[in-house]
Amino acid sequence: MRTIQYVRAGCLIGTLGACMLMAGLARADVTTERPGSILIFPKVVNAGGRNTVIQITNTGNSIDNLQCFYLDAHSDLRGNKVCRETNFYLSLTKQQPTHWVVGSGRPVDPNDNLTGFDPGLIPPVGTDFVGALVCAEVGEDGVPLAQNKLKGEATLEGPNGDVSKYSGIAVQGRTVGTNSDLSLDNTEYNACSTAAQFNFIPDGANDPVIEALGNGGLCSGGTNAGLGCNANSASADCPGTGGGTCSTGGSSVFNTITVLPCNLDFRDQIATSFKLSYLVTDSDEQPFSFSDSVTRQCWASINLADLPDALPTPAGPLLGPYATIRITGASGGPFFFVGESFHVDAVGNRAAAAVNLHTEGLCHNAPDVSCQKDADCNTGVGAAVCDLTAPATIKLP
Amino acid sequence: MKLDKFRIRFGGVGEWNERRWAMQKTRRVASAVAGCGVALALGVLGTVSAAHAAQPVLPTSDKPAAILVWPKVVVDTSDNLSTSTGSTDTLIQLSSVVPTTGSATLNIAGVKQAHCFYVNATGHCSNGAGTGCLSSDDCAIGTTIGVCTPGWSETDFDVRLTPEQPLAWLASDGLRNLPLSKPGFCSNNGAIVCNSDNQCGGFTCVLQASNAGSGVPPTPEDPFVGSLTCIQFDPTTNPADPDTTPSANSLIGNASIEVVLNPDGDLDIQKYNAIGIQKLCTFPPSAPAVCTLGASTSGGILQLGGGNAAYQGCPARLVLNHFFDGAEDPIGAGNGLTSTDLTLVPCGNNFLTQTPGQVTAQFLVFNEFEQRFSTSTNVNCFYESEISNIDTPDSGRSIFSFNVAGTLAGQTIIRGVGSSSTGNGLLGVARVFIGDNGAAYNLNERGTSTTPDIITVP
Repeated sequence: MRTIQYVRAGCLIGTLGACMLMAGLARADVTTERPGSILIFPKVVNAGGRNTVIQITNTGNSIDNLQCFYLDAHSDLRGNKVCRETNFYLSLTKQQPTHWVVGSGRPVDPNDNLTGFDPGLIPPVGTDFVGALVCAEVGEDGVPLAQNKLKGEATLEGPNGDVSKYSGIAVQGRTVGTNSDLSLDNTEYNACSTAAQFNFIPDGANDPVIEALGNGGLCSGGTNAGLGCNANSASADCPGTGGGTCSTGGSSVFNTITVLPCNLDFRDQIATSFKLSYLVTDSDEQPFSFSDSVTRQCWASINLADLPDALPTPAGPLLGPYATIRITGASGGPFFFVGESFHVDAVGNRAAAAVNLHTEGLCHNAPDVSCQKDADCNTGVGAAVCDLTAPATIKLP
Repeated sequence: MKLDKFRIRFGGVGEWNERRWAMQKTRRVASAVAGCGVALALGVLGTVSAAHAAQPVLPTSDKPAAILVWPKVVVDTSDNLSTSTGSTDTLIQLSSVVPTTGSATLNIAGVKQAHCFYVNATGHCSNGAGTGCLSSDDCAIGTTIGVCTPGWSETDFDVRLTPEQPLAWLASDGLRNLPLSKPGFCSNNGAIVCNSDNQCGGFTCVLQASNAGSGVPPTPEDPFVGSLTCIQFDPTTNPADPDTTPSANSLIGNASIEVVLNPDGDLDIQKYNAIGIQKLCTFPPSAPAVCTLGASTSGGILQLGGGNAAYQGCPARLVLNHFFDGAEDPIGAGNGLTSTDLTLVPCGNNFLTQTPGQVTAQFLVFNEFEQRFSTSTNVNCFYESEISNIDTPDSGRSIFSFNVAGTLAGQTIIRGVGSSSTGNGLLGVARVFIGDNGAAYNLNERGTSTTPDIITVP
């Protein structure tokens, strides 16, 4: 693992004739845009009519060996998450992209109909699988290695052919030790981000595009009574003797945020317990903060509809059609995140869109204040320090 | 109108990108450029010890930044464009991450101004006055097939964001009534809007952080295809200059391209993060940060990368993971064939003289057998194409075709090559389609361009 240093220097001659030393270092946290040594897919699904295609690419010019883990977080019959891991090994040749469908896995069989070099035997997940996939670069001897050559994407498909996609979260390695504990501490690997932010249309609010162009309502009266319509074209959508009318406000938006702790113990299979804190801000700049009341285990898919202070009026406090939510760890953190929005029209047509969340820090001296730099933390209380990252450990077998 | 994934596109986007762009100017505000600033690098090298909060070295779509670029914005509410799969609009989301405080004074000081530019890359048919198009496929009007004449114009506007405020608007509608429109109210009557005590008849004008001075116009036409760039300005300067305060990197954004698939009204949502380019700052152990590094920005010339850069440089290479076009969906063959739509925009643009960036994009393609192919194309201002039309109008013969590559998954490394200040780096976003359903995603980045890109603002 290497540290990418960014060093700039210059002496500025202006009207003041001032000289300034300039320097900066690479921001050390997870990234969705650059290759890394650990690749995280927080949301992998093979349940409820959805399946997931994983794409992983070796962006380097030498072979890259990976050890991967599925974390199965589906709930058992008693409602408890099973939090079970399954591991397997991959080997990618230089610049090789590969793919597999998580529901069917990938055998090592040059005669099958799966194209390309088989990277290794990839087991299929169960038919009710929800959880995560974690892959780490290792040497041929299985010892962790930091080459920072991995990138990837997850494509969530279904139901009804719907497509949703996000980038795998990469953790870049620095100076990796020889033991199987991967320390995300800005020494061995970059550490995890302290907080994440997600812009969203509050759950239950209308989707403005569907209201303007799609089935934003239902016909009442006329020959198409009960069918979908748009109020802007009511006469065409709801014809009949005397004409029908088209209601409005039938569309809605729902959001989920998937959370995977950065602390993962695949060796002893100990599920990470955690609680989250939330800060929701609406368009009128009204903030609402709250925390989990119950402890979560190993992985979570949080419906924002289940957070009462993240709902629009009258069900909740949010004013205006748009809001943003900041999520941090109250305990058990830090975390990896992926957001997904589901848009539904008046007749039940549905589409989803996944997106990687923006990351930020929290002030060490004022944990309620988000920050990008120490200067944001000049609250008058203690030394101004912005904690952009927090340490964590991933334990391999 | 359904997307014809593998048609022969002689008049495709790739073709009209080869031409010189006609330029129009529809700016609301113009002002003179004062020159390239007074700063000069003398090469005094040094290293500052690592602070808690340092800075990424490449543009970023998951961190706040000073310049946000949405490479693809689409409005086609009547489903006229051949590249549309249905009635289309784009929801733009823009937020500030300046922290809210309990102090009204600090909250007012934390208001940030986004100076934004829509770049309209919509062409117009030679045989139908005003008919928007992206290719001659869109110009089959009546019994004639016209030529799609390319266009390039920009429209600028300002949005002021209060601390941590999330704003959003439909590209087709804009945003006229902002939620916090009052700069202040009189202490004796909250209904009286004021800017100073003089307007309150002896009472106090209670100032608050507000969106006063903001207005987002709708896109200049429908259909509209183009990009959006927002640059963080400091509203406390007069006239407003690019922000060099310690909170110079405070904008985050997303775009959701929403499609109503005709005629059944089914939906398709494609969401991606705006790409951020950060103002260069030092982060000394003792606050505050210094964000005045690099060349002066007061003349409206923003230097991205290179010596004495004021902003981060653009990536030397973009990396696109994709499915090759024309493959069967690995999950279910009945879902349709795969295709990928790629949008690229130059890092540099001259919004003052209306000179769009021009870059040659070189593509290096790998399949799952580690076999390598390459091609190139020109990016003039805005480039959008299915990847199997990048190298040939006959998509079945493309190196991006499943028929040619022979595998489902591919990796494409995209390198921008150019010699002008507006023609070096590239930014982009991709959309994967399986049948008519799509999803957008951001590209990976590698390396930093050694030559600067310049954005010039009025």
